[in-house]
Amino acid sequence: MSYMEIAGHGAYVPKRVVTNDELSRMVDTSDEWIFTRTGIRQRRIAENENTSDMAVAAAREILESAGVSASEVELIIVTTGTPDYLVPSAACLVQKGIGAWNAFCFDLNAACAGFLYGMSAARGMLDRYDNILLIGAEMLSKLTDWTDRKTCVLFGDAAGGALLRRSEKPRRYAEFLRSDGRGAEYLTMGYMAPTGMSESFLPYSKVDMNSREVYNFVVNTTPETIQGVLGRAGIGMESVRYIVPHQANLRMVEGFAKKMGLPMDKFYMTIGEFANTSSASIPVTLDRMFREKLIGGGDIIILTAFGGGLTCGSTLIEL
Amino acid sequence: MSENEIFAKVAAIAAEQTGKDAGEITMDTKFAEDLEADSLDLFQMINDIEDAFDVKIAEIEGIQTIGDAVRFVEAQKQ
Repeated sequence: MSYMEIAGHGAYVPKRVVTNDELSRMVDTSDEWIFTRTGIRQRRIAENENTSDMAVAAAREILESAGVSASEVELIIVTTGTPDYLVPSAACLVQKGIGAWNAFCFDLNAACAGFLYGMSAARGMLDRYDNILLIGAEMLSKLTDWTDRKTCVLFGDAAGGALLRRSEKPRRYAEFLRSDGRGAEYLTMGYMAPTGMSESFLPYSKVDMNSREVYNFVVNTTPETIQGVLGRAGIGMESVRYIVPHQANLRMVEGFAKKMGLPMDKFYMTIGEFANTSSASIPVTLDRMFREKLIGGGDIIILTAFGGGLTCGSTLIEL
Repeated sequence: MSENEIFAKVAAIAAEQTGKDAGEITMDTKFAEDLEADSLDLFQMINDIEDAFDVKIAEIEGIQTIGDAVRFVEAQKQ
């Protein structure tokens, strides 16, 4: 199998900043309550744009960063649990937006772990397709229950991604991905109730989460997938520059960092600024790290994610 | 394992998670009011107690004090 490189990166977040103080005027909460429990200070919320619009904006940045034209892209994968439509895919809307007429396109949903699962799919197709555009794009605000103070403070909207292609230079890649459908009901959104032949339309369900079960799953499985991916790569933690976790909750990351005996400066966080943007959180964070030159060619990093499904996993890549 | 031994372990877990002095923790210490534990602290302490004693705590609603946790572990262990 070919080696894979991240040849470009990009991100887009909506303009509107919603602070914790603003939310405390809508539901019974406060900046202090939200920040101490989650590490979140603010989030971006989209207005007058949809998931694919954010993905198109991110795609343009990615192509520019890679120096690749839209016509050179042969595959577009959008990871999302909050697409514009069930049909067509957000990926086809990205194709339309950027004019990538030589690409084929599909969406992939693995909730917050989507970007890692998407990278796994892209890696598997790398020998057959050049210039794979992998974008995580999520508009959680569409399915957020803005009256539920436990969940509405957690989420934000964003898109980010990478251009993946074959690398002549050898580069490490290892993955350790898992799912556990036994926990399917612990984190749900967008339930479509069967209606039979009735004309009634029931709106999709909003985000619903069993916090304790999700917390336990994350804090227990993340150390396993990180150790697992190190084992598969055959290297030790000392060779890893950064661990880039799905930005769900700072306290959860502190929980599994402590469990693994790792210092928090091994983990890079953007949750304070963007909150939890599901499968967009890792690529948005990666884009930030590339731009701030925290990571670059030759560095080994681990991406780790977990989410509804339940899904989880860690992926080790050499940049 | 005696009640004192269980208490010592539970108190150590609670002290580490909440940054309080283990010496000031008694059986009557309340997780929320006295240790100022929020829900995530509680999740983590329950996790650590489950690991430490190899028990499964399904319902945390009944556990308000250190003593409640100690008695729960004792009952599970018998």
